[in-house]
Amino acid sequence: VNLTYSDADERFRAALRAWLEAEVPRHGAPPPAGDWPARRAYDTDWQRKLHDAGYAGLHWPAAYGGRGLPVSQQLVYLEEYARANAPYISVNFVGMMHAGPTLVAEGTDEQRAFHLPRILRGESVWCQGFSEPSAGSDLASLRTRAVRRGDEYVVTGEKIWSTRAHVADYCELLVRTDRDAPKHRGITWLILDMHQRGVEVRPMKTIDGEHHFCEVFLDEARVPVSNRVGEENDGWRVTNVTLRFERGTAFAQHIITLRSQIRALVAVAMSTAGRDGGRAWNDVALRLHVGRLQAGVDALWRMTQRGIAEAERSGVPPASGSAVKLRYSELAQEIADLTLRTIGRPALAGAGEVAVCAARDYLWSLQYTIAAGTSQIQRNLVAERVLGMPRG
Amino acid sequence: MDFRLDDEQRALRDAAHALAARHFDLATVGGREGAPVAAAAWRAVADLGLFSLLAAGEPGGAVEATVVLEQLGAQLASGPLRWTSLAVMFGPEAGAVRVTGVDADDAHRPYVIEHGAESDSLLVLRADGVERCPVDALASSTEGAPLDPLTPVTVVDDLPRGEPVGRAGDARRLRLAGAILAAAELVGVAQGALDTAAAYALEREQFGVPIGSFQAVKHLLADMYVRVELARSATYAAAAIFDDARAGDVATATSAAKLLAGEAGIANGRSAVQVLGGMGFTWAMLPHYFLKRSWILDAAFGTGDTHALAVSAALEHDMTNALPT
Repeated sequence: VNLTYSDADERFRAALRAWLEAEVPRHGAPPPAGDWPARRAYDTDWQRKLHDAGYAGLHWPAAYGGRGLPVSQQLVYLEEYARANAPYISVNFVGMMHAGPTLVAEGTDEQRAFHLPRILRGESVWCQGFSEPSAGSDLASLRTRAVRRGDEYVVTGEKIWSTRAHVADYCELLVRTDRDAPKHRGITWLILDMHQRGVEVRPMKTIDGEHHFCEVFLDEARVPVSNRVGEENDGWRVTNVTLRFERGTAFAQHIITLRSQIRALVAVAMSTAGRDGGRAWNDVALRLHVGRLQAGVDALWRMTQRGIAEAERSGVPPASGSAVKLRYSELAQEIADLTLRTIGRPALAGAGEVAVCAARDYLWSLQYTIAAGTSQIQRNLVAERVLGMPRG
Repeated sequence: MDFRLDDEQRALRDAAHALAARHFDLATVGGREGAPVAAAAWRAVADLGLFSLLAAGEPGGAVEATVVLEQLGAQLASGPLRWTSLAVMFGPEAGAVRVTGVDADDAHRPYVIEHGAESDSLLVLRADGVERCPVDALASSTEGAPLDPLTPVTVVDDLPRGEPVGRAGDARRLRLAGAILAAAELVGVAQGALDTAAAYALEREQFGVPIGSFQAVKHLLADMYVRVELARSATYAAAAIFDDARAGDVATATSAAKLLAGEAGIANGRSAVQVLGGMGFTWAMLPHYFLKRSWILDAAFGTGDTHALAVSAALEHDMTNALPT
């Protein structure tokens, strides 16, 4: 076990820190919540800056435009990124963390040559078209149909929970191409161009009053056969490449961000009145709770470091991915919950910037134990795939 | 930066696993109740090198000691393993004798000394230093009725003054190492409880199927896995930072590890009782041993609450001293 960074890692850190210290303030504050076109511009401009400075796709192979950096420097990047409070990956998430890596693993040379540079430069935004109204946890039961006509697939159906689809150019789309095959064997993975007739995006108003997620209605949308990733009816295997990625390293940035959320909570507690009229931070129960949360976040980061190191050697994401996701999502909710409690009634009245943020963060945090595999599904996965329990 | 055990550490882990399975067989654990550790088992642990890993002046060793104690913890090993491993920080003769110890700063009275009757020597950990004395210097000690049948205890009202062997800095270092080693044992205990519960869930049938096929049981087991993996990550990290201070803040890393390992041990022991159901409530099955050992270890070198407050104090200190950005 070696937890020290090499001189080369430290040089990388110093250069990155200097760059972030200059560029993050220059990039300014994000646009107001709800202004999605402005958010897209804010996020893709930032991605372009990362790319031009050599900080895009650190974990992607160099042959595909990434940097192919050693895992130690990927960790340094995440640490410094969080420390600098740099912009959240946001609209670039699906492209950088799902679709891009899937194309690296399974795409054709033409698909990679066209899409990967555009993702890395912030020129294209991707969304995910996996879930459907009747295919949630049981994703493989999806029903959106694609029928081959000449050199095209004609796609009809309905997708849901497509994050930021209203500002996306492409969709990683799962469709059914064989209705007679067993459900896992009739699925195909397609690249859908969102800018066409036959694609209608309807944002959904969620519990926090925002519109992060969309329904996507497909009515004879067209996908060239050359946009198929993997073989026809082999999409479930291709999907699992993506899903395993999601459960492996994709949460690393979120986890390290929890550190700053705890610090924000402590800052609130130091400047807010508590039950006895003194500072809320004087309350030993609160300090016990914060200590436990901080220990949990530290350990989760260590577990991520372990998992990434294992993945580096074996080439496959670590078995502990579901465990990381489970604990991460619950810790995020606990931190948001405790912050709301610490602020007290002003948080319920939207009184002040901090209160508004705390209420919004709390409501948003409720999706963590649902999205990307509910906590109940994750527990089944851990029990079945890691501990060898029989499928019920 | 490579958060994996290296080849030598993996080999040591495998050797410790084989040793623990042979000398501390869980199938006959009842035979070890209230008894001192068997001479052959003690010799085997000494031969493996555990008692010299933390020798003063030698680099590293905490990760290796962690790996070994984790395996011994999973088999509920007997004897004053932790304090004897720590004693070498104060002299090379350790291992030849069995050493136990006590934290004189503990606010609770009377003092409870683990494995006192079978030990030769006693380390007394004080705020301003470390002392050593023969165990028979203890006045008017009584044998306690231990919660953990595998950890005999001696109860005393007063501690003797011993020969000084370390100063305040040594005491701090001992406290850190002790917390890391207790965390390591707890990780092993938490893993042992999970292994016991998982094996039972596969074998025990109700309604015509193994109970491990029920989601309610699966979710208990999954939570046990999450707890032990988190605690293991935190404990290895604390040990690595103890060995090489450039890797981080050893005090905070140690507190996080001890806190999470204590929670993992107690909660996994408790869950193992539940998964085994009525049988889990009997003395004949293993869960109660894991649960009871966890309580002993959680109380050693700072409880979860003590360490949680230390972590939040460090966070506060860090924030109030940070330059405005």
